[in-house]
Amino acid sequence: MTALEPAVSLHGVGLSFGANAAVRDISLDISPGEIVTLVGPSGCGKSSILRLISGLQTHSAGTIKIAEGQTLSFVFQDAALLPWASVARNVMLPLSLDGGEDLALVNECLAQVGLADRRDAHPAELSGGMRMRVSIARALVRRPTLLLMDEPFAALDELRRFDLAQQVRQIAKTTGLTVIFVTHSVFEACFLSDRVIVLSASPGTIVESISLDDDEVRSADFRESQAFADACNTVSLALRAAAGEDL
Amino acid sequence: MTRRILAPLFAAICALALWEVLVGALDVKAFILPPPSDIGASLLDGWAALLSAAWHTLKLTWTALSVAIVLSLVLSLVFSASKLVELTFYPYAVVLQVTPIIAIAPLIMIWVGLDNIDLALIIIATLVAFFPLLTTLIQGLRSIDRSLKDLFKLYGANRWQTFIRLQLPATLPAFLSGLKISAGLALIGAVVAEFVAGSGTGQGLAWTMLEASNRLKTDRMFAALIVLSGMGVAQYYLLAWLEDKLTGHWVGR
Repeated sequence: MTALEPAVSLHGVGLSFGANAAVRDISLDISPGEIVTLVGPSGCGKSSILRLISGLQTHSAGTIKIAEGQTLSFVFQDAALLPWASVARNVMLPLSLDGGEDLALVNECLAQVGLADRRDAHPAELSGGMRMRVSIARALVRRPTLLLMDEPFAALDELRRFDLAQQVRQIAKTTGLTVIFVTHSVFEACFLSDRVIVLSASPGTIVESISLDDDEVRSADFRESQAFADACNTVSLALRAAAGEDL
Repeated sequence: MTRRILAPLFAAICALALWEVLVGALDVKAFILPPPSDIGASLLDGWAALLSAAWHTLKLTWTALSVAIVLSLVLSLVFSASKLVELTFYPYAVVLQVTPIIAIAPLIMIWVGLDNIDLALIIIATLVAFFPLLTTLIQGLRSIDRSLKDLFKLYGANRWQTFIRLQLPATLPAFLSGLKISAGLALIGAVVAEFVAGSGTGQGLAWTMLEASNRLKTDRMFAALIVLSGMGVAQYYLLAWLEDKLTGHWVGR
């Protein structure tokens, strides 16, 4: 257990729409700098948990505590870029809504995701993977301490997914960023995270929390390691049990 | 590109040649169907008068279109801000749309009065033009990407920032495609209104056609019709060009 105050703390959190519960009794502490992934069957409320943490949705039960001084950024499933604005203007958006502009910072964030040379392009000129990287750069431009990512790589091919997951992990580990990541992919979850949280079918509740080695470097070699295979197997079994499959 | 222009042009030349030959061979009276050469001559002879009439109709069309733009923008924003207001008033907008304008035009003439004939014409053309703009704008406002709306909310954008930096630009494609339809309808509305007003206007292209019809000058009617169609086509392509310039790069054109 870390002695640090959790970056995010959920206690007995529930979300209901009328009589229908989306998630129930979610209790979870996430340490600063930790990368946590939520996996679970479709419709189990993974995305709802992110929306609750971000404040985009109001919880119906329990408490959510975000440590003081946290700056939060959100990366959605779709890149959600302004089609009329250049890459640089898109990345600048959070700053300009705040009344500021910092071109040097925008360039730095674009360089972090490997798109420094595409700053003047429009989203339509970019591939799906590039658009998602712009979306990540836009999230980084706020210099967040807490990054919420809702299945950001779902529409990309496997190779591109691993590339981006590797980049996200590298950025998070070098900047001390706390990441809460939602995915359907067991491989992605095990490759990216320090901890994988497995949720049950709707209404989602935590059924398992699996910690992985928090070694900073996760390269292509890691994907071929026994440790990775074991982690995938453990998460997979937990997920199948959570979905109610007979094993 | 060349084929796209040359093929219909060639078809038109063939049709006109056939028309010219058939009218001569069958000895059709000019007041029933004048040969294309007569229509061409009428176009050249009455060029100044036709241009002045076209300008009058165009001014009327664009004034009505401008009013329709402002009206539909305001209404779509009010409707998108309040579901109750939309539920209350949208059916009346539909009633206005489905009622044939030709049926209510005389009423508008009576209410506004022949002293303000231009105002009556603008009202009629506006009524025809405004509905497609209203529906496309409402649709455009509704279909803004939910993640983008969430993003603006998350990053603390106020209502004004959300309107100026998200809603307004995001509805531009819907607005421009609605504008292409509405501009054509505004022109039709202006011509219908001029027809209903009859000699009350004494200036526009519809009046030119009415007057030529009364004198059985069919070639002049055709000449006015050609100018009218040309205006409609030019207006459509001008707006299509504007659409491409403003939003083409959104889809990578």
